[in-house]
Amino acid sequence: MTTVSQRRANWLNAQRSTGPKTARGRKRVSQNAVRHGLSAPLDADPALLEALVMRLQAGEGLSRVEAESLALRIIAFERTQAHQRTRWLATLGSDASGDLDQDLEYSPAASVTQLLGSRLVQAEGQGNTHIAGQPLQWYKDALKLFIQSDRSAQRAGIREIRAADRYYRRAANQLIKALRGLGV
Amino acid sequence: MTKKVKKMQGAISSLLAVNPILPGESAEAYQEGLAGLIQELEATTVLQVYLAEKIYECLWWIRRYDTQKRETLITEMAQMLENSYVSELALSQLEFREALRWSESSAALLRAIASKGHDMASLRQRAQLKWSKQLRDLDDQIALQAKVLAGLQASFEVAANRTLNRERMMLQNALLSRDLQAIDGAVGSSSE
Repeated sequence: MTTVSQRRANWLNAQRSTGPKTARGRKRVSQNAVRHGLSAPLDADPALLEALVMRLQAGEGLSRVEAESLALRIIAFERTQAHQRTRWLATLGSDASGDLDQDLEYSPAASVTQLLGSRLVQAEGQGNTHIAGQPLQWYKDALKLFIQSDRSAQRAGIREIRAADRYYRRAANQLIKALRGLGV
Repeated sequence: MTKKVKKMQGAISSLLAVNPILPGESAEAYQEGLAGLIQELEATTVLQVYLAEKIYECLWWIRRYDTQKRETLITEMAQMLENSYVSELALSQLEFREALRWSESSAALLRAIASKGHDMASLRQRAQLKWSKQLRDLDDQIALQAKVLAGLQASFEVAANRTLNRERMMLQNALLSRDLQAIDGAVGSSSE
């Protein structure tokens, strides 16, 4: 049975470990459960919202209420689209530098491997044993590693995009609905 | 982005700093396609241009997913062919990938496939089976984009009709006020 002194010791220990104490620490852990933030209420920058409303009013002749409602839908839709793009970048894995070769056809899993591989094939064709001081085997190993990491990143990226599907669908539907509502 | 292609961005997208192009994608191809669509749809107002951009982005997403599907299959097929010894030539995984990507049915490639007890169709089928979940997920994403695309197209029509209706009503109002002025003038002259 737990004695009074043990209980007191437990209580005292618990007091020492009840999470972060500082405001910064508390703020940080408050974000622990955030996965993508798409279900959080829209926190649009007032200046941006105002500018958007003004453009919609001036360009489309909408009333203030209509323009504001539509602007909020547009911002929400863009938020989900931005998330989709970020998640899709995850499928790029090691290939997120973007300036490898403009002529390559877009293929997330392939660009780095294409570049590495073409250098490898070229060197082998020319009978070289090294590329930029590195032996060919190093390039071959790197190539394999890239392919593997691309494939696992690809799996994870697609999974995450799927997980956020419903937010994208909802934002799109709300935007479409708001636009149709203007059609009188 | 190269200087050759003028960056097409509507008022709303530029305000929201939307950048639909991801690393590795051709900004030129995107801008050219978008410009063509805007021209085709005759989008003129702020909202119409924004909707045209979103419609094109949906198409771009569909293309992205489609390319990814193809790459997934090619990578898997190349991996299955790796280490297959083909007479005097041992092709690397990369060479297989390149040959499969460009559908080059070279003798070496076909021999490598045969050495693994497959033909091109069965190899592809095997790769599809292994990645069936990912491919299904990508198909779902394509379907979702197609659905959003249809919704945006309908919205574009509404936005276009709205502009037309607005102009028509403005003309009708002008006509009515002219009629009223004429009636007022007629009443005024008869009372004198």
